[in-house]
Amino acid sequence: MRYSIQKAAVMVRENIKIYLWVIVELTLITGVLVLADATHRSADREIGRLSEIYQDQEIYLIYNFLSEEYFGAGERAACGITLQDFMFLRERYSDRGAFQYYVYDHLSLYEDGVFQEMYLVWGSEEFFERQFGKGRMDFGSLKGYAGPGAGALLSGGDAMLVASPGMEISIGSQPDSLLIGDAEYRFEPADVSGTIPLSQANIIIDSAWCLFLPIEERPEGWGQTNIGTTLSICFEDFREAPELIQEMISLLIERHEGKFSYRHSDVLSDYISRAEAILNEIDLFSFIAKVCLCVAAFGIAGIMMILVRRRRKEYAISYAMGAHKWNICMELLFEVFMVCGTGSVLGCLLGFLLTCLQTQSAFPVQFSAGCVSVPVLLSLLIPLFTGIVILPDVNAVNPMETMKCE
Amino acid sequence: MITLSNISKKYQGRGVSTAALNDVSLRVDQGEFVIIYGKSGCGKSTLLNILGTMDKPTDGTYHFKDTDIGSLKFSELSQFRNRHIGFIFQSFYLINEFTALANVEMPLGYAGIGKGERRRRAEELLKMVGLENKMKNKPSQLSGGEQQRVAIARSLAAAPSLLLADEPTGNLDEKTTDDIMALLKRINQEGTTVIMVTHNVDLAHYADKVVHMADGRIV
Repeated sequence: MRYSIQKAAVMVRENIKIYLWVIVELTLITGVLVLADATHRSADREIGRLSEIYQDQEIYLIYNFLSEEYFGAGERAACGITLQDFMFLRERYSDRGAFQYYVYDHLSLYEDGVFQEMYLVWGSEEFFERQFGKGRMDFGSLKGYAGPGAGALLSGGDAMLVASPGMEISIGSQPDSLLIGDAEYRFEPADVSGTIPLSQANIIIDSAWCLFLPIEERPEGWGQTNIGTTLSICFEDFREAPELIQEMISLLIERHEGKFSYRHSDVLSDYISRAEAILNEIDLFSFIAKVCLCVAAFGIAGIMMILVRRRRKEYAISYAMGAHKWNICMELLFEVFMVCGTGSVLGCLLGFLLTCLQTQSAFPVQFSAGCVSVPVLLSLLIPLFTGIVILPDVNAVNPMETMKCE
Repeated sequence: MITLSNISKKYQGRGVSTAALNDVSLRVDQGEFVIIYGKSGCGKSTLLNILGTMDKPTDGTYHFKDTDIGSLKFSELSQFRNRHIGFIFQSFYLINEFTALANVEMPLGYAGIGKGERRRRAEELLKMVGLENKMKNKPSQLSGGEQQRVAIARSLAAAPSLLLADEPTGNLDEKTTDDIMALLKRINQEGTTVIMVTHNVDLAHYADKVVHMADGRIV
């Protein structure tokens, strides 16, 4: 064994001109592999980091709104993603992530200073019935619901939610009243039409409590054109976000016959662009690395086959001198291992340098010891692959025939 | 030491069978210098290859001391060659990437001898063949005669009891031929059995026994 190693070392040294190309090839390939691995690992870290950040921030993954055109020109309609849209998307993609929040919007408009901040939602009566049935209230010709997460629902069909942040609303002592803070309010239809006595300010409303108002009864001046509704989704896999969001948008456009426009929240745009940049970078490096690897494996095997054929005479002599077939095979494998090992070590250094110089990436790429594990493994697999390719050639050497040909 | 009994060797090629050796029997005693001579294609190299266990006879038996060579497997033959037989070829067959010293060390390496001992014995042998100043030279830096000396030193490295030489002087000039033959004779006188194949009958006077071959037979 030791002699085989020593002989292989001599053969590498003496054939260095040929092997130099193999070493250069492997150095470059290993360098790219290390860089790819470092990129991949850093991307994973970045994805984890971003996911944490955006989860904490309750990122708005889709911020889209139905255009004014959807309701007809001149109507000062509140517009937003409908509850039906939400239900539709949630049902369709429930296995891809958690649709944690479905209703949000911020309405900063009402009558002079009465409601400075409000939240709106569009929803079907069935939905409110199911969600807030216990808090159902009768407002005469209008129906209303109250309960945790809801204030009151008036009207059949679509309804609009109105609440102020910091307000605390609960069911009042009467079926048509609500307790807001310490004060109890009875809702009359007239109130609904625009005179809900919430001007008694200093009311603290928890943002989870809501008040619904019927859109049909919307008084003059209600609603606005800049309302957006936000759908918030926590995807199971961050990397799926760009594709899924695009798919959802396509579905919504189709659902609303094109009368649908959208924009991403700034946070989401950033999130998506980063995810896309990361994915593109990983894809690119993975592709390059795979191509390089195939080129290397076949290239090295080809070179070794040529060398083996050139050395048939030497193998024949070795047999005459008492070498076993496994001696020859071991010498050859050691030789390939030495060449590939050298290429791998140099490649790891190159990869380290490339990683340090990688400043154009969409995220910080960091070198870690783990980055060299795959290249090192491959540096063992390439000689094995080469061995499998060339050993039949070595086995086929017939000492007598070979020496006769010389 | 060597007993060949009714050895025949036939080569098959495209349905045609060619007989290289026909019913050859030969006995060689320990310490003999045997020269086998004959024209090209008479089967002398085939006989030498069978003697060197590099080839197997189609028929007949070959006994080396008490060993029936025909019963040995390929891996056992490698070991047997390494321990008992040294080869010298007409074309020297040195490994070009190795120095003279490394070439001589090769059989010792396959015998599992450590580096230090290998080096010491190889140096001794190269001194014996008069190449103490060219140990670090590669074959391309040596003359034909010097290369053959290296090949002889290599063949003696594992201290074989039998030295087989296939036209060892075929590529050498007259003076170098005499030097190489004198060296082989000296090796023989030190106890190694030498069997040499040549087509040069003038070398017969070096031998204890001369075997003349023609058409695959001993005549």
